Parts: sequence; C-alpha cells; structure tokens
Amino acid sequence: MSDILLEATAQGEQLRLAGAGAWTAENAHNLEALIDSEIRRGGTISQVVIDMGRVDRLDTFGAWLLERLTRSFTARGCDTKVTGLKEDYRALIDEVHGVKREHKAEHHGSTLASTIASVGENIVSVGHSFGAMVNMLGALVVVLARIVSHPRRFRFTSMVHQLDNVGWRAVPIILLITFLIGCIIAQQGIFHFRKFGADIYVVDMVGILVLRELGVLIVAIMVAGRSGSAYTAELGSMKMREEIDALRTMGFDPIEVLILPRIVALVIGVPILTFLGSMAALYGGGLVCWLYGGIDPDIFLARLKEAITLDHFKVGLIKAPFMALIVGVVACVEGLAVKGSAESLGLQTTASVVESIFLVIVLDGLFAIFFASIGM
Amino acid sequence: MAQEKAKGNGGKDVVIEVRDVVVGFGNHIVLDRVGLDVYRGEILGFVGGSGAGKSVLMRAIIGLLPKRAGAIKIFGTDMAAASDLERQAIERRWGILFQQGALFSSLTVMENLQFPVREYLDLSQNLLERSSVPTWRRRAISNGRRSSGAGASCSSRARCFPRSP
Repeated sequence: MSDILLEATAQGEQLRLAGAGAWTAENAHNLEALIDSEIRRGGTISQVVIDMGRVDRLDTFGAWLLERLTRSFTARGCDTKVTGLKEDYRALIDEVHGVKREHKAEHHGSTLASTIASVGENIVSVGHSFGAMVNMLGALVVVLARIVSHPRRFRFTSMVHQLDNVGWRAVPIILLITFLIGCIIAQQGIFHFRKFGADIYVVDMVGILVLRELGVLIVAIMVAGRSGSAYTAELGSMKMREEIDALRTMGFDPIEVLILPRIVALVIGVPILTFLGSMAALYGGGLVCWLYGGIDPDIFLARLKEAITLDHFKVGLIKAPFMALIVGVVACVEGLAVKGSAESLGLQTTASVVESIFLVIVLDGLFAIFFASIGM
Repeated sequence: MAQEKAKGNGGKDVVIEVRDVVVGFGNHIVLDRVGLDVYRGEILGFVGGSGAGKSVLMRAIIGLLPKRAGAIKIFGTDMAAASDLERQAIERRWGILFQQGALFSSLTVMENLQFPVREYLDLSQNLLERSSVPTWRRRAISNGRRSSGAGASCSSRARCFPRSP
C-alpha cells in the first residue's frame, strides 16, 4: 500500500505529525518504520502534536504504535498532544494506554555477565538434580522397607514385565556390541603388540580389560541409552497425561507402583547382561586371536586361565548392580521432572541419557580407586 | 473407619471443608486464605478466569499441591494430620476426574475401569469383568487401547464410580 500513513512537519521546536489512512495490521509494518524514524528524529523538540483526524481505521496494532509514539516523546520531556481522534477509538486507546510499560528485558546485559549468570544457573540446576536423586534414593529405601514388611505389595508382575523389556530383549544387541568390541580390542592389540613380538599378551589385555572394565561399562552405557531413555519417556508421558497424579489420588504411591519395579528389574538385569556381554567379548577376542593373530583357541584359553583371576571377574560383576541403580534412578528422576510440554519430554530424555552415562563413568572411576586400594 | 461428621450451619454433613488455605509457587501466592464448604449431596461448579486458581484449589484439595497454611478436611478427616491408612481409606472413597482423563495409557479401557477395584479388593477376574461394566455397554468398550476423545472422557468418568455406586 502506498497510502501516506504519517506526515511530519517541524516548525521550530514544535513537531506536527499527521496520521492518515488505515492504521491497521496490514499497514503496521510500514507504519512502524515511519514511527520509529520519527522517534529517532534529532534536534530539540519541546512540543509534539499528533493529529489523528485523517486516520479512518485503527486497530490494536495502530493503537500500540500511537502509544509508542506518545510514550517515547513524553519520555524525552516533550509536551505531547493527540488531537482529532475519533470517539469510537477512544476506548481502545485508553486500554492500550493502561497497559504497563514494558519491562526492560534483563538479559540485555553484557555477554560476560550473562555467561557467568548461565554458568551459575547451570551449577544450581546440577545441585537440584543431585538433590532430586538423593531424594529418590531415600524414597526408594522407604518403599523397600515397606515392602520387606508387606512382601505382597511388591509389584511382581510389573517387575517381570520390565525385566523382560530391559533384560531379555536387550540380550541380542548387547551380545552383538560386546562381541564386536572384543574383536576390535583383540585386533588392535595383535596389530601393535606384534611389533614387539608380544602377541600372546593380547590375551591378558583382552581378558582383564573386558572382565574388569569394558563389559560392564558397555552394558551400562547401552542400558542407559536403551532402557533409561525408555523409562524417562514412559514416566514423563505419564506425568504429562496426569496419570501419576491419578495414581496418587487413588491412594497409590507412584514410587511403589511404577518406579521400584523398574529399578529392581534393572538391578537384576544388568549383572546378567554384563556376564553375557563379557563372555561375548571374550569369545570375539578369542576368535580374532585365532583367525587374525594365529593364536590357537587352546593356547588362548590356557593363557586366559593364567592371566585372569576370579577377582577380575568379580570386580566387573560387583559394579554392575550399582551402575544399574544409577541409570534407573537418573531415568526415573528425569521422567518425573517432565513438565507439561512435548519439548520438556525431549529435554528430560536427553538429560537422562547424558547424565546417566556421565555418572556411570564417574562411578567406574571411583570403583577403580576403591578396588585398587583394597588390592582387587 | 469411624467418622466424626462435622455439622454445617444447615445441620447437613460437610463433605469437603477448606479453611484459610494458602497455596503459592515461589513468591506468587495463588490462593490466599481460601475457605470452602461442600455439603453432602451438593453439586458445586467453579467459575473464574484462566489463572484464577480453580485447578490449583482442586489440586490442593486432593493433595497434589502442597498448601502453605490452612486445613483441608475430607469426610471430617484432616488430610494433613491423617495417617497413611486413614488417607488411603479416603482415597478409596473419592473419585476424581482429571482434565485430560488421565487414563492409564498402558492399560486397555477395560483394565482402566477395573484398576481401582482390582487393586483394593481381592476379586476374581470373572467377577471383575461382570461387575465393572454393565453388560449392555460392554460392546461399546472395545478391548483396544485407544479410544476416541469422547470415549476416553467417558471411560475416565466411569473409572471414578464403581467403588461407591
């Protein structure tokens, strides 16, 4: 539209603005530019008269722009008058005028300050989620104590169902991944050890690495990505659909009904998966040693027997239930933290996987220190 | 459970009694010393602008939101002072219909209807199926997990009732 919307004439210190045409949503884009350029007009102005006589239509957008014009000139200390406004629009203008002045957006500060602020906020939120985890652990212990005194309250069916999901159905993928990891470690070991003529020590490396660290770590990470995320998404969508509230109002404790069976299933399932995974990795390592490194299976087994002790095996399996507990608790805490929106469900699921993998690795480090100091 | 029944001004039983309840989030006080009496047999509707605190009051009454002050009594029992058992007894008696239905999405419609009864009473599967839904409506309730919007709201209403017809 090429209609003239705003004309300005300056006479000394007086500025006369004459509005015209339709101050409506269709013209708001052009009008806004005109009005902003008037607001930025330099020079000394002490009086502003805005003549709205020729404005034949006005909607909320137009009213806002007029309000912006008067507010900014008033703020500059000018005497601002609006004349010729049609009576029909008086109520609209008054309504807009009554709206609170905009709050200055707070994050327009310097980038350094806002970076520091966001670091602080993140640290506080890490503290909160740590608190939530401790809270959840406490609630689990209380529920567990209640169940020990009334064993019939335990949701056995639900636990078996979850165990099927997180344990039995995870077996193929866990076997495949750990088998491949075993193969890769053995191949790399042979390739590099051969330069020193130390091929046979690959068996030691594969055995110790897989049983102590890799088996349990790979399984825990896989479970965090596969089952932890599923827990978070399930609980999160139940939270969104008010199902958890509904359970509460019917007199059920969501921790007892939903969370305990899930975590128990993980604590039972992960050690079994760790055992299977470790065996698959050793199998893969042995296979590569034989086909690629020329180490006979008999020699491999004999060497393995010498290289590893029961301790190595125990170290891996002892860690497994704790890893499972961490993954389960993090997944459930994040699931219950979901708010009403679909976006928050996605965010919490991501947070659940990232946090649980991180904590699993941290826990693994702590266990390494612990086992080293007790000489295992 | 023995219940002392509060008598309201008309001599009628007070079923829900809310006294000076304060509920807030952070610095924002949503309900400031709200009082409410609901008598037996009375039907009340809440009207108010969005954000006026209608849902907040409801959620505070059913115990989903913590209150900062005041007292809420249901069937004459103070919910804050009640033991776990007393509270559970009340939670078995009331039926609550949520805004979005809140049917358990992992269960079928039939299982949803049976849920409260199945959990609290030791009934056989056969009796459950006969009693929870009148036979003439049985065909309307398919065994599917999904039901239409109207179906869902209908079933969540149905879930509220079987305990106290």
